[in-house]
Amino acid sequence: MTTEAQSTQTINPLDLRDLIEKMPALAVCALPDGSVELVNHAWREYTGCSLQQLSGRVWQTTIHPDEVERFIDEWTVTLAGGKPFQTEARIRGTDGRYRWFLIMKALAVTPTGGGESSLRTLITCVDIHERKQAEAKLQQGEELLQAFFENSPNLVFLKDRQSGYLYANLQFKKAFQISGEIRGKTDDQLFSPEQAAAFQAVDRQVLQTGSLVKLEDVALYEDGLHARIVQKFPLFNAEGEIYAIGGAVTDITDRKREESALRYSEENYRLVVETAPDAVISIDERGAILLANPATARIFGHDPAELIGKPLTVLMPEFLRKLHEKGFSRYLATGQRHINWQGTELTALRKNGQEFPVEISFGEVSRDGHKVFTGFVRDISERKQAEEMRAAHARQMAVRAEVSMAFGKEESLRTILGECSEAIVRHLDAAFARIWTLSDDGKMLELQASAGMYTHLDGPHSHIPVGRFKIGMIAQSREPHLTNDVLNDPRISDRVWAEREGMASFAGYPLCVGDRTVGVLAMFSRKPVTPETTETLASGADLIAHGIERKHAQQALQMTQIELARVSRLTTMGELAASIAHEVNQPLTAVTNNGSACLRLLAASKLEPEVLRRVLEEIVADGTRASAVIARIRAFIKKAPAEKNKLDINEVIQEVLIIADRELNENRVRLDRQLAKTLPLVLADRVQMQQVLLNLIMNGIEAMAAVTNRPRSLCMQSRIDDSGDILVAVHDSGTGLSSETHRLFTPFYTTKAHGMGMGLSISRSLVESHGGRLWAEPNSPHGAVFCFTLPEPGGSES
Amino acid sequence: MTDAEVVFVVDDDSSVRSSLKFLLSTVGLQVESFDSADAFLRRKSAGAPSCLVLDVRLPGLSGIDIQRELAARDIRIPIIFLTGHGDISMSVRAMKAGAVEFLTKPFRDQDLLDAVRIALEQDRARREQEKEATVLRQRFDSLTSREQQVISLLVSGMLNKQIAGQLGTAESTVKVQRSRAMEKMHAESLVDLVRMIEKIKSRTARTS
Repeated sequence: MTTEAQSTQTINPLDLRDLIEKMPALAVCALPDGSVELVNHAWREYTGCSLQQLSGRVWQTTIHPDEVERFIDEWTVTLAGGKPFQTEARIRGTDGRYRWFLIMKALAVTPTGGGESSLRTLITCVDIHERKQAEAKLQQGEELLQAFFENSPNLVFLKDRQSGYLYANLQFKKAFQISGEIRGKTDDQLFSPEQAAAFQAVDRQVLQTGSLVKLEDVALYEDGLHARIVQKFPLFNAEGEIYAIGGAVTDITDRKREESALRYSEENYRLVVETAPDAVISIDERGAILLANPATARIFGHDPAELIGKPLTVLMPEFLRKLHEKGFSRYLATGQRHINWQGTELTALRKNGQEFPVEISFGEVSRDGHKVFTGFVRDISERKQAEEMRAAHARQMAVRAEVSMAFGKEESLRTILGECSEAIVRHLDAAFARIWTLSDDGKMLELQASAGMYTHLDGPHSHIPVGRFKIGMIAQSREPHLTNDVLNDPRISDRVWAEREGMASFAGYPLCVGDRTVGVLAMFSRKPVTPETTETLASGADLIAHGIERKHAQQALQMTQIELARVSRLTTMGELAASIAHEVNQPLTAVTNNGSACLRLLAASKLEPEVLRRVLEEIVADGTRASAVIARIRAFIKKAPAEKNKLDINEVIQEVLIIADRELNENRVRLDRQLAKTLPLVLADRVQMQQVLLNLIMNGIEAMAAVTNRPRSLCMQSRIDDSGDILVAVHDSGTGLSSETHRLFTPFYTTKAHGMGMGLSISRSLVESHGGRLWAEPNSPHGAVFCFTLPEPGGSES
Repeated sequence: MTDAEVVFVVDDDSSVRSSLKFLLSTVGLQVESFDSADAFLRRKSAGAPSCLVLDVRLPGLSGIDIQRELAARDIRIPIIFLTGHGDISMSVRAMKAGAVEFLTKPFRDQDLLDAVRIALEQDRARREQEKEATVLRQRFDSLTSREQQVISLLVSGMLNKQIAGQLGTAESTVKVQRSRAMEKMHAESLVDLVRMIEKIKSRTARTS
């Protein structure tokens, strides 16, 4: 351009001006003072700036801000030195974007129209943007390549023909712990002689063959030996001569390790299958056995070799075969599993025909397009046995716990034993269980509880003499009787019944405490009795025996306490009666004496009025005195020491029934309770109420002693009567009331051979001292009802 | 009922006491009453036939206790017990210990009067027996010791000869002593003498 400008020095200025105007390059013409004279079309078009707009500050406006300072400096320097100016800078276009331009200056003398010439500066700007970009791209590509090699996980290097390194990447340096510049160094300098020789041998091979050499080797890195795939290849120059050797190394240490681990695990797997305690069996899609491990022989009794090809069903009991075949074919057809594949418990069949429990897990693999199923079969007979033992232990614990709990309750012995027998039926799978207790005379077993298929307590088994039948013999021998072959047991009397009901076993235990027998516990079952069951029964029998003993002792104690209270009260009443006799008899005696004496004197006509008056006065005084004594005694009875507390009369009834339980049982009296669910509490003396109730119950029992032709039943009833009082009634089915009902409550009146005739009298006094009433009515159709009321609290009684 | 018979009444109840006194007075009996056993036991001894009407139940010593105490003191007064209520065992004990009657209050007046009459008769008879025994004893005491020895051996059934052998004297001496003793004892025959000696023995001579 400079050349071009200089060569146009002589052309016509107008033409020049026109030429400049039409230049494809951007052109600016400036005066020596730097002010712009003209800008050409290309300039205006690219920058969008006219001459006016530039207003002299052409470069500040158009050069990229990053370069404007440098540009001004260079411009100023060249201007001062009168040197040519050439630089590259970015100039802003109309769209606001910058492009790279080569900016050059030429000095030109331009003749003016007036003959004078003037010095001009022509600046041209040639667009070099495309080139600049290509250059930048190239540089970027080199950097990328460099980065690629540097950061490659592979070892990458270049060597010259003499094994001198031209380049080695970061990974290479890291592997061999080489720091600093590697260029120019040789293998001999960097590695051990053996290593260097090995590397150089490959290099020689590349030089000789002129082609890629690929090999696996092992090299010692800083952190140990590494297995590698090494690829070395020749680099040819334009003349086809090898000028360098390239190398790329892939580390395969990890892969090698995995491969060997895999081989190990396969070996291991084979070993596991061979020595596994579980049977391992593979079958094909037809269900034929492909493989069976040695454990199969131990578990199933089959030689593994003889199983090959046989259907899997030979290892199953008959009842599972169809099921298996159906399920298996359905799975093959639909993919739907008929059992859980992991840990399913099934029954298997040994070669000797024995069935046993197994746990099966299996899986499926496809081989050559065919499915193979492999199952692990574990013999869980022992585990099942252990589980069964644990369950038996749990059952035993449950029975013991329930028996203990039953005896902990404030219930009658019969109720408690009922719960015990229910626990035995529930936990020991008995058809029914019964408990008898021994009567006081030790001769009779009385049925107290029956649970399961029979719950009645009457009938032929309700009373069994000791020594008779199987139950009586257990009590006599004090030895348990156990049989799992009921039909052939000589002691089982009713074989027809046993066969009809499908009874398989009988277990009977004597209930013994020390050397005393208190009863018998027995059960029938439709299943054989296991040793665990007998153990549970034995331990249950022990608990029940002790419970009965304790309950008897408790009853005896309570009975004694009540009896003591009763006797002490009776004694008091006896003394009271004597006192009444004496206290009242004194004035009565005086009255009769005086009266008799008067009559005598009167008969003899010797009675003087004065004497008569005095004696009559005495008689009146003594009569008054007698009635005063009676009043005093009545007051005393009313004040009879009573400890009145708020109490639930039902609770007292229950207490007394527990005490009377034995008496009721021994007299074979059926007890019926009709107790109102909720009754208000009464204010009463507990012991006195117990006495009254016990007295009425005992009276009822005694009244039924002679009854043999109908059930002896005693009904205890509590309710609220019409007047809102609490009413307690004792119904019996005894001999009933005589015509002298009104005398029942008179002291010393008795209908009993050994009665004192005080019971009802005292009971009535006690009830009346509580503000209640006690009376008797005939019961329908037989017997009597003794009723008493207690005022409802908050009533008149305080 | 001569000789100023006395009925002793012991009862802690004043009405009973006075009514008994009144009743007994209607048949002309003299009554002395006491309100306790002690008061009765402290009284002077009665010379005339008497009986005791005694309440079983007394403060302090009971009626049965008094009966025992009197027996211990050898006071042989017949006792009629009165009781407030029939106590069979007590009445049996009392009757065994010699009670005349055991009456339950209140009783028929005639029962008491009958019992009192029987009791007084018993006491009169006893007193007469005792009086006779005392006379015989005095006569026996007036014998010489040899005469007493002879009589004793005679009563035991010995012959004069045997008695002489026993005492180491002549049979004639025994004869003399025997007739003298018989005379002193006012005995008309040997049988009479034997009866007298029996009476003395049965009543070991201590007057009441």
